[in-house]
Amino acid sequence: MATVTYSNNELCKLAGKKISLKDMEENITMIGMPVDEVTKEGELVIDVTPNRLDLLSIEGMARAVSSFAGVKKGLRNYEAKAPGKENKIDVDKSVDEVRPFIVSAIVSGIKVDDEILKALLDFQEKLHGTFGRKRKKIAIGVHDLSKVKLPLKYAAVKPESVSFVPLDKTQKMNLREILEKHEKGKEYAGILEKAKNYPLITDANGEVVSFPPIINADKTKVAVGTKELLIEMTGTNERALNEGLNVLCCALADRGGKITQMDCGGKKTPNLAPGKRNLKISEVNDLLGTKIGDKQACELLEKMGYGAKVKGKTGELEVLVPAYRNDVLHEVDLIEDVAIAFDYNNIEKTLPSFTAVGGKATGDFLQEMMVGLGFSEVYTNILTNRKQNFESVKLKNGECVEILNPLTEEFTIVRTWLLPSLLAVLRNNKSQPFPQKLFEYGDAEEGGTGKMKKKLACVSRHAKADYSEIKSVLETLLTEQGIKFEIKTFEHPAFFKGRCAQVKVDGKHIGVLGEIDPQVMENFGLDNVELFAQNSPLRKPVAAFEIEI
Amino acid sequence: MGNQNLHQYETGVLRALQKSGTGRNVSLDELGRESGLGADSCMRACFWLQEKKFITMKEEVDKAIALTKEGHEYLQNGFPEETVLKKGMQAGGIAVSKLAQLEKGIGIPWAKKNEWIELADGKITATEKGRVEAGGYSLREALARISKGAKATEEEVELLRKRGSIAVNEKKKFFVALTKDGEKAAGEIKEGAGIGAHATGANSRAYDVEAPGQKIFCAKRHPLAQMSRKISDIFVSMGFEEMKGEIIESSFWVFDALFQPQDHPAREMADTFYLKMREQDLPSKKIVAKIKEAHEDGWGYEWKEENAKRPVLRTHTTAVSARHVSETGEGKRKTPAKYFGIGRVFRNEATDYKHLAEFHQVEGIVIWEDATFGDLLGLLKEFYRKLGFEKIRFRPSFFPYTEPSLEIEVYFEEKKAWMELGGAGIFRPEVCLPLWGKYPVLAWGLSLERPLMLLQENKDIRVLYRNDLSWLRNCKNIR
Repeated sequence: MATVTYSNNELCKLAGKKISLKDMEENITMIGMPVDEVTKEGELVIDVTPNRLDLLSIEGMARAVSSFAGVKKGLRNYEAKAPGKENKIDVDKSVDEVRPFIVSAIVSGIKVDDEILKALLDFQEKLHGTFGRKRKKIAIGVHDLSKVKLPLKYAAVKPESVSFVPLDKTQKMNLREILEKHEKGKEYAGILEKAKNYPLITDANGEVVSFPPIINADKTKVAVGTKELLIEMTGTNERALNEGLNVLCCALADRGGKITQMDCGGKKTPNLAPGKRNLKISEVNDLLGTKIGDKQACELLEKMGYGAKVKGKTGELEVLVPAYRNDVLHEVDLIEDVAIAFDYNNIEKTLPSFTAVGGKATGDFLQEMMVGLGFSEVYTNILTNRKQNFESVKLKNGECVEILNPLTEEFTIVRTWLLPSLLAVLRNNKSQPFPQKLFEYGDAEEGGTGKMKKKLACVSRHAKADYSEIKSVLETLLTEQGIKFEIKTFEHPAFFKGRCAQVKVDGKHIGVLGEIDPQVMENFGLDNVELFAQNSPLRKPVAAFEIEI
Repeated sequence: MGNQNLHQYETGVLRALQKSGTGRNVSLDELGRESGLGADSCMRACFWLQEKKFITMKEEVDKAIALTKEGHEYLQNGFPEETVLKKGMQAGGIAVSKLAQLEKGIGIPWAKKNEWIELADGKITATEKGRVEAGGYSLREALARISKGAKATEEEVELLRKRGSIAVNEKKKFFVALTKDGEKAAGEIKEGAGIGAHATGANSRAYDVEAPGQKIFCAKRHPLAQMSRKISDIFVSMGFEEMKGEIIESSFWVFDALFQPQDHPAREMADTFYLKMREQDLPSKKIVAKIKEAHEDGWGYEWKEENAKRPVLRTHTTAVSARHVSETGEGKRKTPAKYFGIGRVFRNEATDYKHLAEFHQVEGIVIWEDATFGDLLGLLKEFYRKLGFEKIRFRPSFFPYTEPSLEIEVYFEEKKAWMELGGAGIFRPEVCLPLWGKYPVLAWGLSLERPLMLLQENKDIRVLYRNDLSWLRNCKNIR
């Protein structure tokens, strides 16, 4: 999701109608883009969803609103003139290994002013950050055509073999120096990490135009007053490049630009002709549960910027999909736009007509029983760290599943048991009234196997909390559950030696119970070791159990 | 003055006090034992009797004192100043540099304060006073008395507390004494009144039934569990069957089966917790081949099996839905069917009042060839109506695996704003066809926390997982 900020005045100007800020917000929301914020300066902060590349440009957003609000409905015609003899990029085989694809276009008849320049830079940045996958998949270069001599050459060259003055610099640098020293070079060097030779675009005079995906030459920089633009996009996915180029060319065409194709290694780009799709009106109504007529469907599609007409009496529509709509992969994508134009809230709400018997997978008898025994339920995190899961409860660092890419020190492993989580809850509630009786029925991972197990853990903390109390609770719980069990002497580092036992069901160990070890208490800041040992009135011991159930 | 208006607790207290005699202070604990009423009831009766001027009450602060770890150490081995004195008493004294850290830091200042030692040229020698007082340090004696439960002076207690040798827990203690009027009233109590008498009905009197009751805390389910139960009940009542799935999942079910291309930003390391463990198994070759084809046709890139095998903590419970759709395609499940599930999901992002690394999702699917978008809207509207949200709207949205997609919003009167509750849509043909072979499947993934926060008027999601007992004990229940 990319966040864009558009001025309402500019949107209105481009859309060709004065629309109030409130109505603009409503229109954009109902097209499907959530408006995060409306600023005092009359700007709209919008989250553009990743399917609508075209809305990453203010021209595209204005176009969509203009159709949706009925200012100018239906398909807009975009044309790209065939390339002249010089409009050519010679693509050398050497780029296959590093950055195989390039597409390009020429835009003339435009006068770059502050507004266009800003819109152009904003769009590039947003496209790079989202669909372009931080320039890895797509990198855009826009140049002043008057500073470039066509035709161009796209080839991979040795890092030290070429030097040029990169954008906004005054000194020549070779390609390796740019990656090592230039701020953009350092930022994007990762993309060329494994490359032996680096991609480079040069003009007919042999001068560098761009070092994609890193930086353009300073010489070809676009500025206020530039009249003709050269656009080039390089990357790893040809289809994505064509889609990106179409979106940018249509945006510039909306500003009055005339588009001319470039021959990129034998392929003429861009192709701005609309795509054609047939849509059965019955499919629309079957999926939406509506009774939309074919003419109405055409109107709804036009409201979304498509061209649409009824094909005789076939019950089919012929839909023309504009070149900037790369997200139409399937008929359902058209059906969604019909529904959006219709307004979801106007669709009759029904319930599925078949009957089915509902049911829960598991009851919560166990938790109900714990509440009955006087214990309150807590919800803690499944993610934890080695210190809490092992060290603080005196366990040797054991087997567990680690997170490959932790964001914080707090969450580095999947917990293997629940008791440390509950002791941490007690620590955070030292000043609350006692008794404190808590339980959690939750998930824990089984010693690095990746298998998750359901466990029940329970703690009781008050002046008289002890082994007998927790044993009674556990015995009552298991008896009420109808489980036959044995309680046997046991040792566990987290529990007080001599006041700890294990629970067995059918001879199999299912858990442990007892009084928490004084050192563990101290580790969780629950008591001073000496006070604990001393029958002091300050003493608030913890008795606990944890079982797999 | 008659005693007909005395509560049975009051007569019990008066009798017990009568035994001790007028004007004598009796502690509430003792009174509780004497009267057989226990401290709490005794306390209440005493407040009433004080109103009637039958007794006087006074409050004293009782200190429960215990030795700390350090206190025990000092009791055993002496205070550091004692060690310093002992060493200073050696012939020729001792060099400061030869003392241990504790002796230097704590021992010397205290020994000097006690006028036990003199310090010159980096050397310590014992004074006359030091030699006299050696072996009989008053502070250590006080510590010894405290450890046996005996008394120490207030100064000693304060000093030892400040030094961290003891910990003091203050507890209020009440003492009551019978007044002249009280004595008279006690004398008028009839035989058989008081404890036990109410059973006969003879002299029993009415309770002060309007007096405030004692505050107790109710053990209960966590609010998220209360919300889960309510949601489960609603779905079951609407004919939905509960589904369960794994928290540790393969990328295949979390992403690939849901038509999320392998370079999709949501799959990047920044958003997803990847796990250091063995690769996950993929489903049958047939399903894998179809998913590969859907990706390569739809997105135009080379789909790789190894990326699909990577284990992750599921980022959404839609993985569980995908498995159910697939099991339907394999003939293990019947159609038409309605499923719901509530489960924990994980996002590798920084936490704030709106975001957590762990939270819950309410998932639902309808697998039925005749299902419509109108059915989806109707089901969601009905669900939220039952949950208590009448005014909701739908707005278009985007998810890679649904088309059409929507976001459900509820109108929140106080804020005069629409708040998001969750996302929904119809699984794309690229999801349904490889897994099930048919189309469509209605699906949603809603927030469990959001409606709870709206109902509890809580703006910070972190509160729900903080387990603050005062919050847990006092927050609004979801019924």
